[in-house]
Amino acid sequence: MVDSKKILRELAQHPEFGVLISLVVLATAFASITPDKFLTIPTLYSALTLASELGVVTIGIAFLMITGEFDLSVGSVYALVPMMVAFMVNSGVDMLIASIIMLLVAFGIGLLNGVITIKTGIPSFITTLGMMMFLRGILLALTGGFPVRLENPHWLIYVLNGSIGTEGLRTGAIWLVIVTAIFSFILDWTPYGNWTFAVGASAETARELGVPSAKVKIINFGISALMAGLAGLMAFSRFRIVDPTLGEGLELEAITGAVLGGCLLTGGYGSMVGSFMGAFLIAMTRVGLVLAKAPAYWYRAFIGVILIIATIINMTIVRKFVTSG
Amino acid sequence: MGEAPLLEMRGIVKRFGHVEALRGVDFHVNRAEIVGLVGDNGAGKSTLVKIIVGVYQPDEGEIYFEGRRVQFKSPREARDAGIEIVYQHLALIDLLSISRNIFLGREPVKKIGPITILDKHLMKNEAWRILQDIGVKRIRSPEERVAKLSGGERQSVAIGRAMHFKAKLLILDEPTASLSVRETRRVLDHILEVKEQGVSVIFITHNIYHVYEVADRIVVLDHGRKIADLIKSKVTPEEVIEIIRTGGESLRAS
Amino acid sequence: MSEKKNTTLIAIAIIGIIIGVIIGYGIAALMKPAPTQAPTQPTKPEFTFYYVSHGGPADPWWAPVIKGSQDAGKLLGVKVVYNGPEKFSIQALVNLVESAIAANPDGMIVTITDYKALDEPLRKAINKGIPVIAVNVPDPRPKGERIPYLSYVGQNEYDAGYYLAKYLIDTGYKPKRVIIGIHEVGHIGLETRAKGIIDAIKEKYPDVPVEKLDITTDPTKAAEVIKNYLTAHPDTDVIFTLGPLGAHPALQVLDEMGLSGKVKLLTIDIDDTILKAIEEGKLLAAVSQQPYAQGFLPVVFMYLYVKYGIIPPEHVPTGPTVIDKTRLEDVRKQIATTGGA
Repeated sequence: MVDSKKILRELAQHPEFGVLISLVVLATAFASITPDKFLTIPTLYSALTLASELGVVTIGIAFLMITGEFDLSVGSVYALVPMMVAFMVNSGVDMLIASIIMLLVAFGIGLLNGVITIKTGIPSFITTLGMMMFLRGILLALTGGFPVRLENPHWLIYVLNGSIGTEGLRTGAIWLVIVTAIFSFILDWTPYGNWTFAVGASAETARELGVPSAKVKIINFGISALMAGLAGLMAFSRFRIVDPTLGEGLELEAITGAVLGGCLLTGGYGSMVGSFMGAFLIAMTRVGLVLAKAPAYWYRAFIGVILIIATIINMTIVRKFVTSG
Repeated sequence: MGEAPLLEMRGIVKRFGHVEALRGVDFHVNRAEIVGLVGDNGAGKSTLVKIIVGVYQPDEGEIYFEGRRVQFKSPREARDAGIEIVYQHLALIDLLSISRNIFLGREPVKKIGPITILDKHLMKNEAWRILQDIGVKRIRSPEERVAKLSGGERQSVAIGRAMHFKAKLLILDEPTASLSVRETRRVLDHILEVKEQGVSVIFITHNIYHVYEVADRIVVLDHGRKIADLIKSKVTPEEVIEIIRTGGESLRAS
Repeated sequence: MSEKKNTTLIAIAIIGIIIGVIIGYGIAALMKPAPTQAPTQPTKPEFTFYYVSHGGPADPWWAPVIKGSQDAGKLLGVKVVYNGPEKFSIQALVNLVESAIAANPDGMIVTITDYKALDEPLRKAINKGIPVIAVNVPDPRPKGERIPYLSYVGQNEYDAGYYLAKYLIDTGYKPKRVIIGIHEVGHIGLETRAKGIIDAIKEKYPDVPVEKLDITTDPTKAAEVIKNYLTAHPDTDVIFTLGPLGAHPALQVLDEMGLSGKVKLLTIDIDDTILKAIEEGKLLAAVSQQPYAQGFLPVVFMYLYVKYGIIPPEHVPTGPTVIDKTRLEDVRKQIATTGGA
């Protein structure tokens, strides 16, 4: 005798539940509108490619959101890292070295966000907003508004986002899977992951029990910026040109992906796999709408509606099954 | 009974700016003893207790634990020495599972090659054992979230956690506030069991009747001073209430 | 706890130093090519002109315009103050115009991006005795009704789109399906370019489907959207993009799908990548509005007017010039010397 209510309750305990439902529903809808084109490998790969950069940023931001903080500067880091790498490479520095340096700098920028937020008590929303504008300003000032091109290709760009086969799969998708796996593991299987959840749910209680709350938050700010930098390099590897407007609006999309994937805006709850699926949902929607021949100017309206509905589903599940006794 | 007290505090003074929260308090707790710490608001109960656990440091006075002079600079140091505190509101984190809550900050780990991961097997078994010990029958698994526990059950889990980590002195801040009659009963029973295992308890509360049931001694604070230190059998709850109400006048009168 | 605080702070300090060094390196690396800062004036400038446009520092198209205006100023010994909003906003433009008027310059050069909004402030400026030259976007109303500026220098966005599409039609090619990739939906300049393209095509071939596609400024999204559109509509044979932000991903996608040269790609505005693509036959033609001229020429005309009373012609066109394989040399020179074309 199967107790369906019990099974439902069990499933609802997982943050990924809601986004999984949304994915299945949406995929079914798109598949029924364009059966021959939607359920194909190239379409899947196209959505995966679109999801890879957004997904990597989303994983980083979700990890921070679970800790109870926000990072609005990811879009600017996403552009700054490849921009500086391009400068350095064009001036003769090896791309691998330049990339490693800039990823460290990105991590440092994240740490800085964290230190300012913790020490001054300014909400992270505001700190990172300021950092976003500050970095974007530096970007514009250094480039004078001109885009920067990579003069000579380097093996690293094939590793970061090269093509695999002819159907549209790129190595970026593999990076997304790797990043998801690593942070999922950290979150679920290490003490640090436990601390991350705890600090997000209640920083005071965690501190009471000996968890170094401030340090955890600061490190996770670093992780968010680091992932944004990595994603920027991935985007750069495909197109080999960085425009100073690159990454604008990315922060909101990434947060959306995280929320879709089950992260609570208040912290303490969320999942890396869910965030992966959230980013994939956004990508799949865009791809699906084009294939379904939806009028182009309606894309944003559609995406907006889908996001609101999917979030309502998530919040209802959490309220009914997770936070109530 | 010639045994040295588990905890002894002499002449504790604590100031916050111009305000003297504690004006020379002597306080002690013996082994396997339950002490009720009572007094009106602002009496200094929570300040005293925060000094014990290392959140504050006293301006004057000495503290001895297990016979040795101590100065706890942080709650972690106090916890390492065997002093645990359960605050009323900050006991557990709703969104996390029971086992994650119990082991938060002290997670058991095992190594797989160079990587350190949580020993989830150990966590689950130990958490399950604790749940059984404190008699929470309703919950089917320690992986359930704390949100599913009632208020009384949460207090019990928090106490169970402290016990698991071999607390010698357990401080409970308003453990029965906002609990139902049945749940209060369960928590008080749990406290008595704790004493049976040799652990001492400091029980802070406004409810004299609750503390009267379990305490061996009752200590009354008023405006930063200790005004009474009475063996429970020698006094009635009503008399204690009078002492608090009159600021100690009723004691001098009798 | 205090030792932990110290370690964190030291770590932050080290990282801050690293950031500083990297940024410094970046600046140093940049100092090699020509900077876009205004060169220092050796003597006190004779006049001060304010160049206020809707194109701010974030838009790469305006970079040569800014450079042109500064170079002209340096050549003539006048100070040219360039102001443009960070993000496209008529409000911001009007505010900048008002600030310029308050500074009481010897002349103002303004893009009439929204003639209704700019009517009052510019008439005020002209009545105050500040001469105004319009650039890049004119006041479309007839003379007598429109803002009485001295001259209009430029070729507008509509013409850019129209002439580009006309070029394709004049080659005798009849398209089966056309898409226009707009990278910033709602941006008046881009929408106007698109309208020019649509009108030109519909004039000759009213039955050919022409669709606008929201490709966003993000290259990955643009690439995937174009790719999926081509998959959904395999009869698409012409793609128009309205700027490098659209052209680059379009080139990439056509390459990846093996359709370079088979699907005709045309774009507005030029850069190295686009020129290379024209040379390789991957891109059919591009329109250059010669933005440097739109920066340089109005300053010259304003100077001639203010100093010598020479009245500039009513309309000074600066383009659009359609660049295809036959014109690559000239354009290469323009880019090399002015930073854009």
